[in-house]
Amino acid sequence: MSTARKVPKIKPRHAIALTGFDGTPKVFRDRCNKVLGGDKTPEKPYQHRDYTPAEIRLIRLYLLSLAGAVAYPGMPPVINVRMSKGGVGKTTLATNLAVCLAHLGYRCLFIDGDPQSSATDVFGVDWTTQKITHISEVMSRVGKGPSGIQNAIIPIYPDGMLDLVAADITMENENWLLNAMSREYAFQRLLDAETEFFSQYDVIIIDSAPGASFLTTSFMMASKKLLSVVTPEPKPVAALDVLASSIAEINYNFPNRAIGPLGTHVVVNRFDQTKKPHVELLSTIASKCQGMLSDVIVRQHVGFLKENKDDPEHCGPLFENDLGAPGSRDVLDLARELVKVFDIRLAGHQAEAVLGMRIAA
Amino acid sequence: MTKPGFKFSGMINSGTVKPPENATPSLIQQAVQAVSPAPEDVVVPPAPAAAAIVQSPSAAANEPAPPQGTQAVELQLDMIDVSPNQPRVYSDDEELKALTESIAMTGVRFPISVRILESGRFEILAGHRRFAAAIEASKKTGKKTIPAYVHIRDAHDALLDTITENENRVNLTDYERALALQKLAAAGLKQMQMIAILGVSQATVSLCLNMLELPASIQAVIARNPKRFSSGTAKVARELLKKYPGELGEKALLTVVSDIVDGKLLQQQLRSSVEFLITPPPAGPAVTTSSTPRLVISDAGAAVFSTHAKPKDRTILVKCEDKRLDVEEVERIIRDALQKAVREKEENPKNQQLTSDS
Repeated sequence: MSTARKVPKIKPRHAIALTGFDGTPKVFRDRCNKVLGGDKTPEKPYQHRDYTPAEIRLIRLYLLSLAGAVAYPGMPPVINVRMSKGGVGKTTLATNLAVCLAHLGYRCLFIDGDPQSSATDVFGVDWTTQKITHISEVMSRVGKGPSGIQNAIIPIYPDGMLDLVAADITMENENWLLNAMSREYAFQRLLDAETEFFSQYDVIIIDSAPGASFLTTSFMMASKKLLSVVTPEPKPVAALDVLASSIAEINYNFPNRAIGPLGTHVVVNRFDQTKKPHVELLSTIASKCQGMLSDVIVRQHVGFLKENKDDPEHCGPLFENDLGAPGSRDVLDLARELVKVFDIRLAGHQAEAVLGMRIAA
Repeated sequence: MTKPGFKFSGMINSGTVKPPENATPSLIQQAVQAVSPAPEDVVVPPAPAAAAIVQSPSAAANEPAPPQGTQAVELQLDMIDVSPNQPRVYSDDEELKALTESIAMTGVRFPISVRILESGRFEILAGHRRFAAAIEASKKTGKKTIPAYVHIRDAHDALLDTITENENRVNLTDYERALALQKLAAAGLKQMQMIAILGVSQATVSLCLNMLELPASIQAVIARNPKRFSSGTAKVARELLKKYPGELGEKALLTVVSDIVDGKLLQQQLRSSVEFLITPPPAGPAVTTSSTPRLVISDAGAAVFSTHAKPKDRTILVKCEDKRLDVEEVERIIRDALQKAVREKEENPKNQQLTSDS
């Protein structure tokens, strides 16, 4: 199956940082050649190579001496990116996190849960021309026959490192959910019905719409924890209280959720240290979200605003385009924190969570 | 990659961001805790503790697994055991005192992590210092509980957790790291795995492990204050033991290592000091022996000054080791003292004890 994006080529120095390898580039190359069946020949003894996300995964498993012992744990954690305010960078952060986690070797499933379909756009999938089966349609089929989730995915990277369930504007129509029995569980029912399919991934990322709809509620019901994005500006900070009310509503109405009460992890996005109100609002956010705040503050990064429609392969404000940029560094730090917070495991191995905690220098 | 970005913890430490206040929980904090039971219910009764956690109302009846670290519960201090894997052998009393005071004031802000033992008690995975401080603080405040995340871990995972948690903190000393690595090796981990999991270099691993080849008597001395004895110094010590085998070398080394650990000597002086003890230079003019730096230490044991007399050049170097000292002020004090000494000598020419090098 062809992929929507070109396979990313990760340069050796970035590959070293991503795998957390602590040694010289030469030793790293030798190790990789051993795992990947290297292309080093007597004629070309110092052949440099680029790495793909799938190769990073293999290398990391090898470095942990876990190469043969792959054990899938069942349902992967769900990172539901949700904030009751639009324009705070949910999609930017969600798509970049997905790409970053794939670069760290985790198999990601990205579900675009927003009828605006901006995430679909970012990954370079054109919903005006391409036939799209969105997640709402798949959910509506559960219980009536095969859900067809396998056919809904659009591979973004090869080898299942990053798959997308795209969205388009028709997802706005939620009429089928109006009549569905206990519609809050609609997404959970899909997860339960297709456990085998979903458990091939290490993490599921959902980009939710800002407003409260049946669909977003249904996603929240299947999440242990939300990932809420807030910018250090008055309106988004005030919107934290709106988010609080939707969380409280779920926790009040469903006090006995099997996965425990709904929590949230708040991350500050688009911080600009030269703006005094930004710095001042950080204190407010810190008091408001004490105990659920991400330590990483994502800086305002100009690279995430770039979009080149003429060059669809490089289209999109993505981590993969510039691994050395300050914005990418923040996304990487955040991804490593989330590995711990959401307990994301590499092929089911918890030792990975331990390694993920480490920030390579 | 590029330089690190902003972290909340760092910005709170530097004072840019005000630390969060505990006054009243915000709406979002209330929302997250909406269904968590009232505090009286959470406190685990002393007997079968594990069962109490499992039956906490947040876990559904058909979900046998207890909440794994999702939500902090209040545990009684006397139900918690210290981990046998804890690599820290030494804690700075002053740091611990400061932590105790802050805990007495505001309580434990970040819950510790524990695992359930088969006996129904709890064992610490992370947060030994907070636990120790909480026990001290409880004597003052009478608060007999500590917030904790409860995890399900078998002994092997718990070992990894405890050690990696400490490895990620900056101030684990080399000797403590060595003990931790030894435990990992005993658990059957290969060196490659240790390197990958702990994120330390191969050189660090072997240097640290070699530290444990020192005689037990010397290790016992190091354990008194491992901050002052690095793995590099241990390498020198092992070389010296090889050079001067037997009781003679060990005894001299023990004396010098004690002095280093007590802050009387610098680590760099190990080799010269041991060699001086074993083969003292032939008796000559007394001045030649004082050509090594000497330390002036504070009551807390920190180096404040080091002085270095160079009889050959007829100079004395005074180095202000404590960064907070005003060097010009120190020079003024020394000049005053010298001036006073010179005056006294003029007044009382018989005082031959005084030697005044410039």
